[in-house]
Amino acid sequence: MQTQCFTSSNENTMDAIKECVERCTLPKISHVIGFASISHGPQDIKTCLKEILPNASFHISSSCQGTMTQEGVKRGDVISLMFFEGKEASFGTSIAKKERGIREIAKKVVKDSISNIDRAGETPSAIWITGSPGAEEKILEGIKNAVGSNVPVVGGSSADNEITGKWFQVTNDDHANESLAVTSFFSENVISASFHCGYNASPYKGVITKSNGRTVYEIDNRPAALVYNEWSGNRFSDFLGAHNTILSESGLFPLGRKAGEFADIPYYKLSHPESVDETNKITFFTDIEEGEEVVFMEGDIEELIKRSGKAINSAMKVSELEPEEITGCLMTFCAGCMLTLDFRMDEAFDEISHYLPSHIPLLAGFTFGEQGQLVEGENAHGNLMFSVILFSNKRI
Amino acid sequence: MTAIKRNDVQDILFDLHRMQKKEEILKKECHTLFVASKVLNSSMDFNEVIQNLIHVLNKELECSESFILINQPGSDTFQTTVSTNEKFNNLEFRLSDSFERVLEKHPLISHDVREITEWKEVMNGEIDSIRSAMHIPLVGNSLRAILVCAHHEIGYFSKSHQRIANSLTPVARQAIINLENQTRLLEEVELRKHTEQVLKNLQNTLVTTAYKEGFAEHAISVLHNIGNLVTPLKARNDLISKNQSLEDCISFCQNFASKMGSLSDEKKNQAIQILIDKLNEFSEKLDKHQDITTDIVNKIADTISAQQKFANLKNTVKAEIKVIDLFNEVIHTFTDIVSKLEISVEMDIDPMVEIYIERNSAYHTFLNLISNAVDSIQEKKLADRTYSPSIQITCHQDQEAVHLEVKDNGIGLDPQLAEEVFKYGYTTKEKGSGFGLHSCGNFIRANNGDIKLKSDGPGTGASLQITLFRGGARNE
Repeated sequence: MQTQCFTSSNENTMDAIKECVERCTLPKISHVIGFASISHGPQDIKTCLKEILPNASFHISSSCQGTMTQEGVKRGDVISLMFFEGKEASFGTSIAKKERGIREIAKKVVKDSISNIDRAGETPSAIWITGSPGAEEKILEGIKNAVGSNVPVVGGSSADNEITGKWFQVTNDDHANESLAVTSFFSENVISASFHCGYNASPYKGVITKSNGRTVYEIDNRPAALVYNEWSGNRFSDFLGAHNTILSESGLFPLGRKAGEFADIPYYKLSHPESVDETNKITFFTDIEEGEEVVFMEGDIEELIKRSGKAINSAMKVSELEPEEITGCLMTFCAGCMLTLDFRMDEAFDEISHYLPSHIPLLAGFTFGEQGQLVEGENAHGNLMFSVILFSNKRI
Repeated sequence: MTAIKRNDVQDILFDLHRMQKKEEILKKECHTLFVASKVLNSSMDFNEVIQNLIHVLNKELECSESFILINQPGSDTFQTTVSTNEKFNNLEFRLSDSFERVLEKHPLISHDVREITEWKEVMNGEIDSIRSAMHIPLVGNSLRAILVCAHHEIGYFSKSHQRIANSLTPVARQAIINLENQTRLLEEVELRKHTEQVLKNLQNTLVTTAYKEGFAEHAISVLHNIGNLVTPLKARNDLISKNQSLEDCISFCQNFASKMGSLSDEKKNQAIQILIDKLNEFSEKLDKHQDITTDIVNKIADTISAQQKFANLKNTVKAEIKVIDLFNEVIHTFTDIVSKLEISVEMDIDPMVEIYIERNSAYHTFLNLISNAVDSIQEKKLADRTYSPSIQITCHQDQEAVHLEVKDNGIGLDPQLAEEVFKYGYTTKEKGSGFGLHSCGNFIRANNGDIKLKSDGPGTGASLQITLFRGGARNE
């Protein structure tokens, strides 16, 4: 499965896509996966790609304030496209609006993506998902119901620049702001995934005693924001008692929920606090159930920088891939981490380049929630995570 | 001093644990391979191979059921050949795109077989409980088969299952190919045995025929050799019948009888003395004739005796024989005809040269050579009475061989025919049998020798060159 990735800063969507396609030297483009800034409208993206690449399927999602490719961090209004050659691989796409019964919708979308390329019943090698933020856990359940739990599901929740709901998803079939888009990959070569967080568990932990979806009212029977503020050493005192977005400030202090144990060490799915309000409840980017134990997690900039490279390294180790065997890398990079790292994102890119030489095509979107395969193989949704999928020419 | 971070320790522990898991997987793969190799290699036939294969895989991969589908060339269906559950036997899958891809060596994992075209048609009864399956191609020399591992859970199979199956299938494929080869080998052995029997029958027929033909050839040989001896005998008889002494005697007696009354006693005594002298002269010639005739008759007897011995399948006895003695004997046989044709016979034979050979056959072989030379000279003499015929016989030896040559200045022959003359039935003579030189060639070659005829062309004479290598015949 050969890939190439190009970025354009051209403000005109048609010209930007043309620029990327013209640079591509693959003999045949079978599929395109991309991230674009919200300055490019989903309708335009769909129309232009259909016109320029009428025989290719595509799957584009919005990204927060830019993208990252093998050439570095691309800030601002950009569109980055990864092109896939169809030799020894197949790609099926589907998209559906997120409505009630999201599990069934997710199941159907995945099955449609498979049957659209006449592979009904066959298990894909990996699934790439992008959707509007929300209900990601139910989506993963729906996908599990469709194909079982052995297929790595990797992706990220579409993002915009300022959490104003302008995110979007586009495939060759449709485009929407609140939808789930899926690509099913079929390949006879090794596809490897990893899902990492860059945070340490602190000694502070509690049990969610009142919650509803993504809103947590109480931890250990006390207002959630008060408990969270205490665990943080009163870093959030100024935000309490009023509606305040704490997305940026909480970037290094998410709550963790134990996802499992590996080598007797617990690992966590992260929940990123988005805002507090006058009742001191906290809204997160993930669902948190009542009765769940949460741990106050601590991160630091240096660790976040390193962690992005280690996510790549981990995916290589899982499948014993050598750099020369890797033909492409897709990544979802938490937008919260990106915003936290800010100008030091270039250092994070250097860390990635340390493991993934610059000739290997790389595409990363900055997302509002990441989905990936944890170390023991289960698929999960988390915040402030790095999710990686590596394509290779190594036979299974 | 740099502080060790918790995350770094965690990474190392993760790596360590990952390696342990990898080791476990490798151990499992090795174990599966080991078990499979063991059972597959001890399998005695195709059914046993696939039976063992599916049981090993079924157990190691913890599948619900496993079976093998075979597609006969030219058929668009797959039959269940061997299964871990007899209820799955005799299922028939219709070949469609998915299985076609598998046969093109692309393994297929299905999370839900109810969506696979091939499976949809067979989904009833026992098989209805199957939800997911892994399809591994088993393509041998002429084999088109699919190994199917099935499970009751949706999405049970993963790439790691495929990896284990992949690692196993080359062994299975090789075992199947070995079996195919073994079957083919057995077929070939059967064919070879049949061919051998046919060959044996042919050989028997050939031996019988050869025996009969050999018998005929020996009969011809006897006749030919006797013929060779009869020729000088005939010449001698002609000579005797035309003997001047006898004619003179008869004429003298007739004259004496008519004049006997008028002759004086002295004349009568003189006439009787002349008659006595003539009769004595004739008697001497007759004695000489008798010696030669006796000799020839003895040779004929020897020839017959030798052929009788051969016919009795007894080996004739070989001995060291001086070449010069043999040739003297042969030339002696031809004394009269040599004299009659005024042939100059020159013999340059090393008196020490001996050959280890069967005497009677050697005699006839050399007799044949001289006979041919004489015939050639006789034919030329008929055309040119003034020509001076000659036969040169030379013989010398070196460390490797004895070299013999019989050279005449007779009619000769086309050099291109030099090799033809040794073929059975080939002759340049009007009344020839085509047997003489053929027989000579066989005898010389049977005694580790070589014979060649050389001639510069018609009218230039010919040379028969014989080389008898040392050792070969003796070692027989």
